[in-house]
Amino acid sequence: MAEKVLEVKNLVVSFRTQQGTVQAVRDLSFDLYKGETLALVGESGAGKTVTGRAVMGLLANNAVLEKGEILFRGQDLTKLKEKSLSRIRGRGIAMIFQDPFSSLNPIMRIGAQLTEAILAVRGSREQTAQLSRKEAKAKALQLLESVGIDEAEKRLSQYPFELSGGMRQRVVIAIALAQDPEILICDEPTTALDVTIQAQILELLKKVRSERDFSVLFITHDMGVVADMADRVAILYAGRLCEIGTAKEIFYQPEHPYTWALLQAVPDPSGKGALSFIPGQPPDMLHPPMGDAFASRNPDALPRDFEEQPPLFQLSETHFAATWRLENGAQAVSMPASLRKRIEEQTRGKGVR
Amino acid sequence: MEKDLLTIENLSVFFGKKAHPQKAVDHISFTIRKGEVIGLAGESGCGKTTTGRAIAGLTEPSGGSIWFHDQRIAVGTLDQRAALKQLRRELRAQKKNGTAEQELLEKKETAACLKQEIEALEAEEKRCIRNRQTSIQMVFQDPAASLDPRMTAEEIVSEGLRIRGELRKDQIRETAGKILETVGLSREQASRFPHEFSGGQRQRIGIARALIMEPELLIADEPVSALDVSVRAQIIHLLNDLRKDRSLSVLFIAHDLSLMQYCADRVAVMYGGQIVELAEKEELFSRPLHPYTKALLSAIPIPDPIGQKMRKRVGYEPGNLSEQRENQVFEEIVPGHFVLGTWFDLEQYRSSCCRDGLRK
Repeated sequence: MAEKVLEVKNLVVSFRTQQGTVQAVRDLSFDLYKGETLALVGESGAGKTVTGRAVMGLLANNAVLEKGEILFRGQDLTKLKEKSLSRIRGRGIAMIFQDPFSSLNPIMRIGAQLTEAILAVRGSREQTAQLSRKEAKAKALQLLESVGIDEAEKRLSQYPFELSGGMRQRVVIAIALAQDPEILICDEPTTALDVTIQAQILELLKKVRSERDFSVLFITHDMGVVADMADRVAILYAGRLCEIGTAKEIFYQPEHPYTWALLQAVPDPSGKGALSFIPGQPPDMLHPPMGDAFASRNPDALPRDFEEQPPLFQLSETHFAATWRLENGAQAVSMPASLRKRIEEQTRGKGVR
Repeated sequence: MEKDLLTIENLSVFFGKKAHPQKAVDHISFTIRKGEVIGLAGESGCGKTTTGRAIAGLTEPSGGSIWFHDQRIAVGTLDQRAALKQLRRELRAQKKNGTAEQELLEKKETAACLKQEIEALEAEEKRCIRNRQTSIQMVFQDPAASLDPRMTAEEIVSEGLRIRGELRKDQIRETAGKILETVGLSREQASRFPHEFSGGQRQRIGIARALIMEPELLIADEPVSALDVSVRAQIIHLLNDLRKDRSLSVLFIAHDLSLMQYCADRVAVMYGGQIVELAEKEELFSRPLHPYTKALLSAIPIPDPIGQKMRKRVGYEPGNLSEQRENQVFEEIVPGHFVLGTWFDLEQYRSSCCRDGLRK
């Protein structure tokens, strides 16, 4: 296996609110390997964005990192001071946010925002050779071209409001790439965009990823997008890992009932079968339930699911799932027939087990 | 055939200066039948929301008419004005050249007729506003932004009743409670404020607010775009149930064709202010003809990693739209399937349909 670039170990993050402590991330562990794309998937409130922000050291003021380690380049990011963290941000780890309308400064020209990002890093203590403004501008131009923006020269002097949503997201990606990060965290980068634009942005991300060979932590709730982007997939529910595995394992051999439900909630492009939904609401994280958090929304939950948190059962070298149905003898519950049929159709003749 | 509930004729909505108008909606025509769900898909800026707003009476049309139950509810004079302008220009040119008196007189008469027509339509405009009814209601895209944060769910839902002049408090409360239950919320939640609800629940309130007026036509403007995948499915199910129980017609606006499969009877695809393709759902998905429809279908990501990676995405770059439009027509290729294109394009679509027909 390739080299690990990021290790998240037993991460616990909670928020102090007036109502009490909201447990957003509860004991989450995963690794990110060099050059791979790991998708973090879950509903709103599953803790995926909080995880991304914790890695960047950008948690809100009322958030508390209770426990856990985030290892990057042999350093534990949770123990670093703000000053050393800001040196890692951008150059080591960069982040793209969901809404391209609010992640750019509305009163700064595109060029100024790009050069700011370029100069910010070059100007730091370790880099002695300071780039001149002219060189920075040339680099900005080159960056804009590399993210597929035409008339880049003209765009440099434009303001964000003059660009469309897709263009803005391209600019945001250019800024994130300005310092050649090792890890790019994409927090729902296409949720606010149209399908056609979404397809373009995903293609762009795949292109720059293959050119620059960085690792991507891709946060999304759309399984269709995951299928397009991810090498590995981690399914999050109520702040915990439900299932983690390679994209093929998650899509073709899903084991956790929540993964089944998520896969079934995606519209089938062939239009066959009914669109199913996940009944009920995600649990209240002020008082997280005992046991498997998904049990109350799972019609086939085992009695034990309500009482005890299932451990991650290993299914293959890369595939783990946390559900009691995998414990020896408890395999009473099997995958819904409609999903099984869909997977069979998808895998036919493709050499997947 | 079911009766048409709403008819749109040559609807245009132009924004900005008259000399350089921004053509948000450019001469579109379609009908919505009673009890039908019609999907309107297209990328942002294609005019789908503006169409919805014009139907709901939130935007004044520049040209064309909208008929609801044989009553005109909106009208614009754009086309008549353009015709009049053209006629006057011709008159001026002919005067200079000294054309026969007779011909000039005839043209002058037509001009006078047109002028009268415009005046009549303008008078009609005022009547239209009165004709507008509560039986067309709208559900908005962003449930967080479309609900007043300082009103309780019950106040939001019952506002329409109070505006209509319903005065008995207990009756208002009863109706609001009932409608909240219809959309899957409980009466106990009526006194809560929007921020206490989740995104899906907020959208349910938005739907309840529209339903309380007992509409015949619901305009749902991207009702699920802001929601999570699983919640999205819940709202689609709710809309489908409501439609069955109340024989509601719905104009379902979305940028994504994938959900149309589950809720629409017919689907219209818009691009650059025009409808480029309109067909029954099954027909459109199994045999898309217009290149933009194909591009839109290929952009939907499918939950199948191998299949998704093998799939080829189709692009659509039409070039200069206004030039092409001059020789394009919106024609029926096979019964119920309309496509926009030049005569040459349409001929090709027709022959490809024929080939498909033979193969079947």
